[in-house]
Amino acid sequence: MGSKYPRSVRGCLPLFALALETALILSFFFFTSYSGSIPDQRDLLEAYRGFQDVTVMAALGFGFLNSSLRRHGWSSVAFTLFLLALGVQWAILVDGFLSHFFREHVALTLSSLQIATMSAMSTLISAGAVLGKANLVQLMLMALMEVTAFGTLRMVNNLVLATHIHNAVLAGGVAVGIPGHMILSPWVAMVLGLLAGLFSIGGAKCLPVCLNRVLGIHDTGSVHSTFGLPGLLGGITNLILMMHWVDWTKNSMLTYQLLIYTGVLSLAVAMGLVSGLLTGWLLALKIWKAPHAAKYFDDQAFWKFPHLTVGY
Amino acid sequence: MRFKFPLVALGLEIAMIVLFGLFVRYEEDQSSQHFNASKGANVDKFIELYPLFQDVHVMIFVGFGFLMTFLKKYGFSSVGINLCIAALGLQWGTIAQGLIHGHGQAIPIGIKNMINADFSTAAVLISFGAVLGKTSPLQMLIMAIFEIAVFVGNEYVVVDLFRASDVGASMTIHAFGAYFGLAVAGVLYRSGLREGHDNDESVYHSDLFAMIGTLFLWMFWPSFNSAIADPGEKQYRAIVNTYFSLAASVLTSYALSSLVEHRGKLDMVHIQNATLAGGVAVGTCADMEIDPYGAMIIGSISGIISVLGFKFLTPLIARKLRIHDTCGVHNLHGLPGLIGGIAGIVVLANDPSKRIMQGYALGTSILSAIVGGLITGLILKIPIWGQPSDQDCYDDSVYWEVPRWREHDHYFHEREHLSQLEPEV
Repeated sequence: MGSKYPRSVRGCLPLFALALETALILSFFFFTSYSGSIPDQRDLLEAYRGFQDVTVMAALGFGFLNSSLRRHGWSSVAFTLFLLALGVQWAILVDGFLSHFFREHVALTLSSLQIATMSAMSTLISAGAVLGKANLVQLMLMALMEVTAFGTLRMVNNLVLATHIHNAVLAGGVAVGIPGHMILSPWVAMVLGLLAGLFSIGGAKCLPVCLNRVLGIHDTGSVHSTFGLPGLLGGITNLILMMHWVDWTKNSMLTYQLLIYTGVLSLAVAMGLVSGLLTGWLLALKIWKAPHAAKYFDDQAFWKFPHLTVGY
Repeated sequence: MRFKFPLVALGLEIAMIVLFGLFVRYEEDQSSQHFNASKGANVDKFIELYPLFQDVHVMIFVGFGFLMTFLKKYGFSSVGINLCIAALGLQWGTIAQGLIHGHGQAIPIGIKNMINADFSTAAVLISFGAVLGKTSPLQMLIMAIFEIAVFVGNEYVVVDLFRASDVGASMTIHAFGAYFGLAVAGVLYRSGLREGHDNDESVYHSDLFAMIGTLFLWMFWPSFNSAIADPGEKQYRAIVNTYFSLAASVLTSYALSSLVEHRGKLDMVHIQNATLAGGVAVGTCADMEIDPYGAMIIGSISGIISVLGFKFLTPLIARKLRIHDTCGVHNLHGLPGLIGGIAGIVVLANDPSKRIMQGYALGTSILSAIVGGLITGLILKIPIWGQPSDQDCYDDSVYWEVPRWREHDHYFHEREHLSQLEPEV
């Protein structure tokens, strides 16, 4: 048996974080610039509101959503903030690279910031699944990998569909995320919400047992029932809605679109799983100094406690 | 306390009402003399900027309030007195700023006045952080009155006389508020508490509460720095620069916190405060063309300096200069404010005349803060303001009705086997 103390990340965390920030600053120096065309104040402030709502959801929403563990509140909130700050900077670069391969400077508009924040949110969802079992270095790597995968996926979607059907399965979370533009009356949305709620509760009640026992997956923040299942539901609903339209119009173009869409949906799931597995294997390496299983879900492993007492 | 505080509070509010009656008018009063179009434009402007005002408001009341709730028995006072000071400060700030800028004319109250009044309040709340737990609510009201008066004078000199640029107010609010607070804390130093106080520490949930404040400040800081920027390009730059500066300071402050602490652990105090240093430091040059990477450099440096300040400078100041800074405002507002002022000078290096003015602005802000703080501290030292005794510091129960049955953190868990709550002594 090794030391009873949690392993120290003093060697790698400061080194990685500082090196990463330096690399980000250099990349920003070479590849980014202010947006050339500035909208007038009204449009600017409108875009700013949208961007800010997403930031509030990411920082405050995700931070405190995951703070339910009795001895893991500090880590949940503070790691979320860290992952958000890192994810957004990295996502700006990834998105810029994928959209025009740095042939020109990436123009930072408020809407590109908003999209980057949404990419970072995909990381926050995944962080919920490994909550309490990974240290900050591992989460950092996960954020880098996942934002890259997410950006790639969105790029593929944009190339294939050229519409905004992207982020529901991985990031949308809410079942209504995908088909929002196809729902014509509120009652459809309400039915969808009802189903999503049932699935979510049902999933949270029954699935963990099977996931845990059979697949050996432990999902701390039950992200599968909060984001995974409703996301899938959203994707499938969209398919059904599209089919509904196909029947009525007999349009071969729509059939084609339907096929493509099914492909995109499966691609999103497959890509999430594959990149997740890859990242997982990478993070399982010993060099990241993951906490001992005995120290899982414990802030004490990561934080300095000024006046340490038994039970806090 | 029973009579002094209500008397002073009511007296001040009556004074504010009288002053508002004498000097403050609605904005429309002026434009209604002209044709209707300009009136419409004014209202448009108001609604357009209202969300930014609201963000600043949220930062003042929720952000600053909850950031200070980290003390284990002082949460009520932190949020409650914060609210009281801010409510008084924004009224007094409106009057003081309006009178000095309008040279004694009636003040047409617009959205910018409201934002600026909130700014003047921010300076007081920063100083409040330095003396947190060691003063009575009454003293804080008095401090708010004096500090805002000095603040407005300094702001007038910096902005109107020197024409220095300070859009996010690194110098006029943050550095000013911090050094004012430090000066007051220095005068009010309690030698009896040199060895520390039992209640001058946090518990698990109180630190989590403080994180609420941190997050609110972090999310809305771009609004703070862009609220009074010129519309268009400058406002856009202020938002983007502040955002990236904040993001960079998060990474570096986590890194440094892990570096300076035992076994690479993080310190909650650093995370609560140093992550915000980027927003303070980028304030002065937020609307200039420093490019996102420039903002990130400023943010990174300020995150590092802030953590180092907490670790090494604050204990030193407490020991050698006999200034006890409860919240560590020197590291969150003072040092990053200085960095902001210096960054402004560096960025304007090509323009010698402007650069000198920036230098003067920084010097004036700090000097006026220290002198004003010392004088205010002496006034607050007069033993008529109901100061708490040394043992009563950092304790809500002196000024608040606290629940008799108080869940008692570690206490509670240690004695869980008794399966009953211990009544508070």
